[in-house]
Amino acid sequence: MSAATESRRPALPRDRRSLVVRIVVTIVVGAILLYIPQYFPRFRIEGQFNVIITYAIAALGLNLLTGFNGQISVGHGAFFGVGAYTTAILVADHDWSYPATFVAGAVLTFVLGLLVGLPALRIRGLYLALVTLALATVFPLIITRFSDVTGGTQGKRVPRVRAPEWSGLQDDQWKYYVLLGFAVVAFVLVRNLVRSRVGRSLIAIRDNETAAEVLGVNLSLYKVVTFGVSAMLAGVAGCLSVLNEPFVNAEKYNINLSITLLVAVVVGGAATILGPAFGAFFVVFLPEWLPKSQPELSPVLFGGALILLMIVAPGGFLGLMRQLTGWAKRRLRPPSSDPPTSGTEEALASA
Amino acid sequence: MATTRWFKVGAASITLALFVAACGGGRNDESSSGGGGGASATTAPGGGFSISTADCAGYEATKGVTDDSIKLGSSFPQSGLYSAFAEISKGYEAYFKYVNDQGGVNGKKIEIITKDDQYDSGKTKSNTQELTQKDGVFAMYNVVGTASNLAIRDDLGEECIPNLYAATGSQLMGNPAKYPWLIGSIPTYATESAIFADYLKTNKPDAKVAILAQNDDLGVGYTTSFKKAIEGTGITVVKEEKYNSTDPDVKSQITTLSSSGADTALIAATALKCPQALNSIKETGWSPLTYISATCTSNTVVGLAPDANVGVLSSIYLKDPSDPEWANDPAMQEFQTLGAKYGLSPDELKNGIVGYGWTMGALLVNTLKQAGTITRQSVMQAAYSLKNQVVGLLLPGISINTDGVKDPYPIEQMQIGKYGVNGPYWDLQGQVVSFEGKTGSYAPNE
Repeated sequence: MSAATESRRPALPRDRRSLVVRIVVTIVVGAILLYIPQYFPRFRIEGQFNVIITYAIAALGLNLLTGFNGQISVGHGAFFGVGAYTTAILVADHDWSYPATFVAGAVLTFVLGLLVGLPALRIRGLYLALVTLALATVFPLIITRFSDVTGGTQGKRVPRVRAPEWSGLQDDQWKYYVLLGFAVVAFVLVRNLVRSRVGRSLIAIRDNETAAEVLGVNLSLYKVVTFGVSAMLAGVAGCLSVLNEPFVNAEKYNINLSITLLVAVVVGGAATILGPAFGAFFVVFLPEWLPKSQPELSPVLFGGALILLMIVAPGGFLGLMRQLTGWAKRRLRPPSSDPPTSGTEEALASA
Repeated sequence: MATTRWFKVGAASITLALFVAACGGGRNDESSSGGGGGASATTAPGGGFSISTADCAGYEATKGVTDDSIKLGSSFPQSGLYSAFAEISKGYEAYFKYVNDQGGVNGKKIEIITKDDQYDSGKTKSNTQELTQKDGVFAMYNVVGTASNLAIRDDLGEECIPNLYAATGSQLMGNPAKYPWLIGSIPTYATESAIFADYLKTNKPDAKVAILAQNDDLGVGYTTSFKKAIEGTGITVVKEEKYNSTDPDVKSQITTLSSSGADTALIAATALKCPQALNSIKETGWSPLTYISATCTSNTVVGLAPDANVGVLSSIYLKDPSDPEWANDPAMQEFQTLGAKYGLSPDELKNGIVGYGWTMGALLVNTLKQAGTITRQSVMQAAYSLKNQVVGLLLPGISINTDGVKDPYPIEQMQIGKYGVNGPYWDLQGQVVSFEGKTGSYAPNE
């Protein structure tokens, strides 16, 4: 819509128009997401898109902790792994149904998150990063240490999930829709949480702990519970990853996974709701797009691409989008009619 | 402002759509989902081995086969600690080049796409998915590693895609009643253990054995079958130590074993872990009679423990290209001349593991020829009905025989060899020991 028309004839009140845009965008995005498994072959769905969804949920959890609450964790791959092994062991060896293991995995990782969150009350910043880093490094060792239960480096195969007859879907499509359902619920819940009083408290703690405490925010409670919820999201993502790929081994949940999740948060845009989804897309597909003739070079190219991206878009993907749209608007709109940018939005963007 | 934000989301979704388009798609589910479990296998009345495709999930008999080509896929470590195994592919690729130059198999040239999995079974799984679904290969071939092959066994079995001549000696590869779409290649770890136990019975009847085992089915295979083979003899196992395939070295395990009072060491390890173990044994000043897994016998691997490898035992089933004894052997000369012609370097031509690849190439070509009309079913049936195949560099007296569930293991004859006594190669000891058709009777299986 050109600036001229807009200023002369505001057809709809601002919030009505925003509602329309909102609905249109939701429908378009929803349609694309629903169409993906009809368009792409199975190995893309199982190998990439389903992985993106699980990473997005885990990164969503990590973002809640790191982006919104300011506590760094380099160990979320371990929570992801705990969730994955919970599902794998219970389904493969104890004949549990998948949904039941999701509950078990969620409870277990929530409690684990609380436990890790306790020391985080005393240590912060780099030191917290180091403690959680230890978590990420120790996890594969624990898996190999107890290989009788976990399958160790050899791994554990889990019975597969079949698409129910009535759905008329292929297995991979069914799994995609189930995962997408979980993701939508998780994203909506986190969005509502962040926009509530709780969310404002989290951000206040991140920005200035002392001020937050003076204003009556219970620091310890919020920080520990955030750690728990964040770990739980990563854990559930891990459970879901086994639904997609019914195989676990010690190497899958090493330090690289933790770093990948952190990269997804930063690349997508820290402290944004949808950022983790874009970040997850990036960390899964970028290695696919890089030339594969030299396998040793791939990580180097990936690192190079990351550095480049962080220079171009320090605010992550969503930050870049904001900059671009802001720039576009300044160019399209005569300066006189440019309404003063509302402070809250900028504050959120920089958050 | 809300509008701005949603405009951005809109822009983002368009970008997403572009990404989606850029990934390339086009789903084609023409084969309906079967939804059933794996296929069943029986021995047909006529004696040949037959595999049913009735329960296959979307069986595509000739996927990957055209009028003039057959496309195969493989996944094995090409980088990392286990990259020594990548040498195998040099051998079979040279052999395929040679066969293709002769016009191929029934006019079809053999193509092979290989992918790196770094010996990580998770990667093997995704590689295999990509090979079977994106590249549309006819069959998987010579995938390296026990864990890796087990990781892909169920998927391939359900879709009835052959996994031919897996490069692992796990006895789990020979279970065609349950997994008819998978066949192994090298002698099983159980066969090896039995042969070593046999050797000890005559040469060191009161041996006290220490075992270093990889912490997976490879290690378990050696350990359980060795213990079974020494039942009722004076041989005892005094200490066992395990390592994980991801461990950087095995020093601490060897230190523990060396202080156990054992006079014999069974190294149930593979790739770099073998020379590491040998070097550590030497460093600790321990001097046991040492047996290393046949997967370590190539010069690339055992050669990494100079001095420490002298007098080490293993089981041999191929002519060692470094051994001057075979200089005038026709099969060896063929390997040397044709191998050189089709791209093998002088080093590779002296390497036992390349020779194994060459032998496997020959075995595959024979199998395809025997299958007649090439379908996934006919090739798999042919692989399980091999008669007296003498291919590649097999030792004199060794031939390949399979017969479905009755005899699922291709190579079951071996001979003890001693390394480095007269030079950097394996000196054969005693006679070829044959377990033909008997592996199943003493190998633990699922």
